[in-house]
Amino acid sequence: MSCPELASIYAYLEDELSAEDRRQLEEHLKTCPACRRLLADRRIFLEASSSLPELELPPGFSRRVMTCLPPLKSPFRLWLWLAGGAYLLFSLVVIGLALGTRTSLFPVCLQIFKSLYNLAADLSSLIIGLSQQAYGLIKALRILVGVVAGLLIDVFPAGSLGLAALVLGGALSLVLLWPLLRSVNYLTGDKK
Amino acid sequence: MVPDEDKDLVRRSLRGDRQAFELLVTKYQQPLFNYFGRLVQERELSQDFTQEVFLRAYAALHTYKEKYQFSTWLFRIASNLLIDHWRKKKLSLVSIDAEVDSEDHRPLQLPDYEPPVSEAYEKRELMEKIELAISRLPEALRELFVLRHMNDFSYEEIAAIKRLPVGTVKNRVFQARELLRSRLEER
Repeated sequence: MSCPELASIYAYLEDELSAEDRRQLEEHLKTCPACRRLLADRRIFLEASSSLPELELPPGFSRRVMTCLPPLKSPFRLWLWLAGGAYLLFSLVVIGLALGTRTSLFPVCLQIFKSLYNLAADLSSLIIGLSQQAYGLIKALRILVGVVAGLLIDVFPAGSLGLAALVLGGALSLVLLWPLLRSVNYLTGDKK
Repeated sequence: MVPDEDKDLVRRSLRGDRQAFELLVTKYQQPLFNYFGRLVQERELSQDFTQEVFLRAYAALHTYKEKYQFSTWLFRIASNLLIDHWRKKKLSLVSIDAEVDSEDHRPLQLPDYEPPVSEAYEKRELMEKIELAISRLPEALRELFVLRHMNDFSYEEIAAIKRLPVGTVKNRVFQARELLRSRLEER
């Protein structure tokens, strides 16, 4: 075996070599004083690098951190409270109505029930209205694209249109991918 | 570091147990301070950064996923904070993916001859020289060297913190060591 790469010497010292590579390197070391000297040198260097003293933190540092902590965030907790609250209110209303007209709670429960019903109906109308508007917008866009395409076909020959579509598609893809590529090409590789 | 213990402490912290989070602070304050101390080289700033990491971690604790080690998650926050700091200071930041300057680039093959630094210095003196030489490493290499040698992270853990392939991390740590070691030869 010829002299190993320096990286293999480090890998040996850090127990990162396979059993076979380790055995081969140990065989080589028996006959190569230069590698033995290099191994001893890197061993001392690694040991010294890993035994640097700890830096001294001021006493009571963790207490200082604890006094500065922000409120604990949990995005799910608010939704849980809202959903739980709504369920409880609805249950109370249903119980109030189930007790019958003789109780004094009945008119209040009926009023709340009506309000809840109206709220649900309004929300439904809003959602349906928004969906209809979105559908209308898509239809209008489709017509617009059709008109523009018709105009382009009249002006340009079919071959150049294909090329233009290719260039436009490529440019659009780049625009869409750019934020992704940019965020990955960061020192940490983290997506911001 | 016991990962399962950390996960239990995170769960308790999320239930509002501040004492559990204080245990995490106590456990990781020294490793984080060592990390920032060697990379920022300013004591007060290192303290502020260490504190900031815990504040950010607490604020984002609900986003922590248990499939990751808490320590790597915490050091990822630390690493991002550090990079923001370096960016703001507009230091000559060496990209982790870029090659180190050609004059600093060390060959992967064995050198024909090199003076053994272990013979030139006593261990204490060698450690002092290493401490000084760390501050002269390019930032990106210094960070990997510190994560490996001061924080005792495995290559896999460093790869998880930096979101880099393990092979790249090994190569960069190797470069950092040889660059640092070559500077020890400059007496």
